[in-house]
Amino acid sequence: MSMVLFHPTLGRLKDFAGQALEASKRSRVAGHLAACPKCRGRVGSLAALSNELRSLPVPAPPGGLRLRIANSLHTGTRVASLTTDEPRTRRRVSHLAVAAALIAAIALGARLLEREPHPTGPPHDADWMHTDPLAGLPLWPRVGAAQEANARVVPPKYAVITDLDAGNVIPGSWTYRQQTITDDILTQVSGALRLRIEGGTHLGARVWVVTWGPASDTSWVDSTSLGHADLRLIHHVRRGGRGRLTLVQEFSADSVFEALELTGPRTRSFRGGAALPAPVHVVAYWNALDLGLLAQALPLTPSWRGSTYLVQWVSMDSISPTFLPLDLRVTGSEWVDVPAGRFDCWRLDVQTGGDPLPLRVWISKHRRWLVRTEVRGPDYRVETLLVSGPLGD
Amino acid sequence: MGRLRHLTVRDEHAAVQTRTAATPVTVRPPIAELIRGARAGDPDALGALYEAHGAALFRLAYRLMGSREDAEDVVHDVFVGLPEALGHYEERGNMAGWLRRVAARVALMRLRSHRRQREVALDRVEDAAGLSAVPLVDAASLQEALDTLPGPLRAVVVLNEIEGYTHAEIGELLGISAGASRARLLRALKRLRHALGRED
Repeated sequence: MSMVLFHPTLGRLKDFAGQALEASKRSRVAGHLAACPKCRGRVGSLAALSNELRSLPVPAPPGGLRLRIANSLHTGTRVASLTTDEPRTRRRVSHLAVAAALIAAIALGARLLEREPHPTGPPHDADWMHTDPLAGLPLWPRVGAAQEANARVVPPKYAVITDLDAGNVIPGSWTYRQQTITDDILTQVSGALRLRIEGGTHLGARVWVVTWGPASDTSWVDSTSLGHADLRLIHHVRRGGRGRLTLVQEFSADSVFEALELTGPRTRSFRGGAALPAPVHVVAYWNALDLGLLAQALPLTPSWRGSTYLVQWVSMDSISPTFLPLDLRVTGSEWVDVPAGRFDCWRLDVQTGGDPLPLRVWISKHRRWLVRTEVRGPDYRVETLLVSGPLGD
Repeated sequence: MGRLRHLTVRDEHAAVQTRTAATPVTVRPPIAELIRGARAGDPDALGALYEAHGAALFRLAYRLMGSREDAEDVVHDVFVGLPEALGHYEERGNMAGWLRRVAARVALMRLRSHRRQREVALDRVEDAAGLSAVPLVDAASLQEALDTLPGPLRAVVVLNEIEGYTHAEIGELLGISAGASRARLLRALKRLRHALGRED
């Protein structure tokens, strides 16, 4: 799963939408799409544009055209040769030597520009695919940074969730497999992710610590601390980018403060703060697994629905909203088969503000495990399947 | 060739097609025979080819040129020049594909030579609205955005997105590299998204 920091170029997303991407790159892009509503929206938009272009109306040829052609043939009308093709090819050959140097320069430029910074991310440089955790960062200036409320918060669709049950939370470790299925045929496994929920302390207070990242390495890690009794988000740390990225978000009762450090050829540091949209249980949401703890505490019933907010970048809110509504709705009840076994589940649709490709999750009724997640695109779906849990359900 | 007057050409590789008992039997001449006739300027053979391919070529030309009149001129020129052009046809591969490439070349030649400002004619969207799967307002907006693209960008959008040509094939048609075709497509899509207010 990828951090939503650097995003595929429009060209790569276009190739993905048009199935013109080779398998390895396709899998990588699909993995990114699973975590990035923005890019899912772009893929959906590109696919829709292609369909609309193909559906544009075209009039039928006029009835008199055949007669006009017949008359022209009869009168011996001549037209320019229809196959005077490739005149430019010869002209190009004569300029090849000059063009070669230009092409080399352009190719070099294109390589440099291949990975464009995403609208929601900072400028080029950190390679988010690699990592090495770093130490924490100081946060300042706390008060001054959070003086202004975020005026661009989109309202949620449902009533804000206020009745989470912290007593239902059970510690443990869960392993998931992420895979992309294209055209219901080609399955590509992207890798394994591990979710861990455990008790801990933060500044002397009891918390639940939720950690998730790749199961096989420590290339990046995402960790949140939540109040043990009220499940309020207190602290969020994300480390990655080959040791070049560290994001720390700290939450008070009504504000969030952020420090973002990017090291490497262009070391940069960002600080920001924002007032929370409401005194609610916001979610530091980067991946469906961020819902792992929430799933255990939600008061799910057949017709349940509720909203909360997800938190994205704070220090770069000029290019992406810091808060987006996270609207959850139970849409069914069904048995689900995953590598870990067969589970009787609630099916929920999870939608972030304006995301055209909603996330669907299945939560087991018995222990409230996150059993399966799915993002479905025009011709693909990205699944996260439970492989093992702490106990049999 | 007079016997070809009432025949229908649908499949260039089949000489005889039998319909169900409820429909009349349609007999088609071998494609090689049609080509020989068309090369000789036989009006019936050319008429049969027009019946088989004219509508598809008109659609392609219309999309590339952006106007009904220009599309008519393109199809006219293709069929009037066909007897001569068939001299270059090696009768390998797909006749329909070859004709489409010829029509695309004619359209692109006209686009290059005219270089004129194309009028944005939304009414023509309404003309054919019944054929559209896209809501009329959306189709009109998209058609307008497509029409305002510069010719080289529009050509790549039409050939790749609508007609399904690969970038290598487009490169061959336009005398540019496949990479340049791809770059043009992305530029065009960005402009279209901007014009339609679908940017991020």
